[in-house]
Amino acid sequence: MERAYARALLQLIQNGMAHADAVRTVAKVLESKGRSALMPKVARAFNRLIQRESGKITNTLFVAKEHHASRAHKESGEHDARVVVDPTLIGGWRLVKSDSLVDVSWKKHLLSIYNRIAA
Amino acid sequence: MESSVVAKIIQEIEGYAPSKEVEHVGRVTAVGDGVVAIDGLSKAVMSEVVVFEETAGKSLSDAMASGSALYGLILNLEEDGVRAIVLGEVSRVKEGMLVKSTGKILSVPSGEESLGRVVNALGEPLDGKGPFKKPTMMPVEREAYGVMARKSVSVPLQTGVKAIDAMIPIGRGQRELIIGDRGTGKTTIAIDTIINQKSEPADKRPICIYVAIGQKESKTARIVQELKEKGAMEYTIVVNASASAPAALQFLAPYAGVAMGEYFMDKGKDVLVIYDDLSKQAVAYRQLSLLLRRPPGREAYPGDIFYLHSRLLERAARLSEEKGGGSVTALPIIETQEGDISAYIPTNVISITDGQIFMMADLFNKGLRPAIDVGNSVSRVGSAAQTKAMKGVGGSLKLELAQFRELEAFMQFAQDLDKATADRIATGQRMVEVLKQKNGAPMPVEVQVAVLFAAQTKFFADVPINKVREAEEKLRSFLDATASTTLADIKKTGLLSDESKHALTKAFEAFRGGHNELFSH
Repeated sequence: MERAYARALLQLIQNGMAHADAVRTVAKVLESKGRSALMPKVARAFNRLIQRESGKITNTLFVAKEHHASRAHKESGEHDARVVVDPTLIGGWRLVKSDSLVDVSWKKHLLSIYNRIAA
Repeated sequence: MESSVVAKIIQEIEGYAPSKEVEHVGRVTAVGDGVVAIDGLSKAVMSEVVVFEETAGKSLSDAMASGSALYGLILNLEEDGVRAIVLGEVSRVKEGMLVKSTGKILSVPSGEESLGRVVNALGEPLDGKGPFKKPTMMPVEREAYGVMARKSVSVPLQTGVKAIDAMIPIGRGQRELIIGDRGTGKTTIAIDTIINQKSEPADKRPICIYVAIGQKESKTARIVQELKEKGAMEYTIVVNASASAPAALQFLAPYAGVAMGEYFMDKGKDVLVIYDDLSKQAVAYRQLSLLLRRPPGREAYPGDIFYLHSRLLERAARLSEEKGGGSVTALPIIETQEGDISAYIPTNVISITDGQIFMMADLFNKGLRPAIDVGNSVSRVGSAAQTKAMKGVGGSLKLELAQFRELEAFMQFAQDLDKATADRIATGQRMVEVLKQKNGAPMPVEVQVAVLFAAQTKFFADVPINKVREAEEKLRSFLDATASTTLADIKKTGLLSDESKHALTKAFEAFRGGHNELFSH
């Protein structure tokens, strides 16, 4: 539901309506239907929609230790990716893009070994 | 830890070569009531299985302890994302969780080792006998066989219930609906049919699959126990999606059941699948559809409720010889409210199936077992699925009973009846008694033929109505002991030859001579 409202909001803006007016229009529609509580969800959905439409989703590169970052950047080929340290990875790296994932962490590999042996 | 296991782990670690495999993912944006909204997964396909990534941010030991993977099934493809149902504990899904695409359609394990097992709608064992060793995975959703791959239904599937085998015969590959109010004996007929398959030769015995949808666990446990006691569990698989199971599993259970059956059909075997019951599956699907925000239609069911059942029941088939000659017979069960067979779901399923067995609460309350309303029951395959012997003795039975029911109603007002009418009523009353049958006591076809032959030849005419059942039971025991060769011949040939008729008539006379107390004069 919130996705539909977010898309409607985007369409209003794309049709030339001022941002504040577009938000007010959507808020008024929601209020008239007694669904004002949906507004925060619409805002989040709108944020995701804008990121996707503009292709500005920041890719995130997870590494086990901070000093692994340069090697991870090099191996993944994603030099602009935001680096996040996740010690549970043990080693290797993990790249999360908008709708894809590359996981070459040691944790993933060790888990797959465990699952094969335990099966 | 065993040294071999350690060596294997070392070998695996040494052979580690990181591959930059790209996985398609989405992110959970909302979760509730078993339905998950996922942002992303732009390459997902309908009915694809997705896996929720629960291990992110967890330490290795916590990830290993988190148990089996949690799966979902995509049911809605939307502009910005998808909606999926969770095939497991919904509480494990968190907002923001990554969801990975698997590129696979939902499948369930099947094979010989499934026989005798109780599984859930995902094919996971529930009986504590451990996982399957080498299962064949069968797709839960599969297109039904087309016209050219099929052949007409001609081989009978004996239910062991006289009233059904004689008047509403079911063939292998047929879809026969069992419909009626709650507590009228629908499940009993289905279970008796499974038990009766024990009397079939092992090579021709159908594999039976009982799918319990939205039933009480206690009822399913009782059924499993009964099947075990009667030795029927060895050729039966029980798929259980109880009332406490998530709606998603109740919706999937019938498809899982038929998918398991298709494994055997593709190998040329006969299969009997019982869906107990499809009304509850429809309710589960309605719940899911409303949560998936699909527009509601009549009785709030979604627009594709007919397709839900038609695509399931179309998978019942009798395959041509080129395809192996296997079959899947479907016995769906529908529960009615106050005997209303014209409600939405009953009419849908009646129109899909090849006939229906209508169980009537009034007859049940009068003590008639099985409480089949012969007038409203029909098998569209008809006598094509009967042996010649059964056709000979049961061919006119339905008409005679219908005439009797009409006269019976008339009799309530009439004071004096002419002899012909009185005789017809007396014969009808005895026939009704002969067709009565106890629960859990299916009867082999040759015995049914002998008993119905006795009724046809007016053997019970001199037996007082209140003694007909006793006479019939004693006659069966007598025939088992004295006419076993004739019965075996009927079973083997499927014919009631003149010699067999003669032998049976002689046996009846001998029985009469030894049981004078059962006859009025």
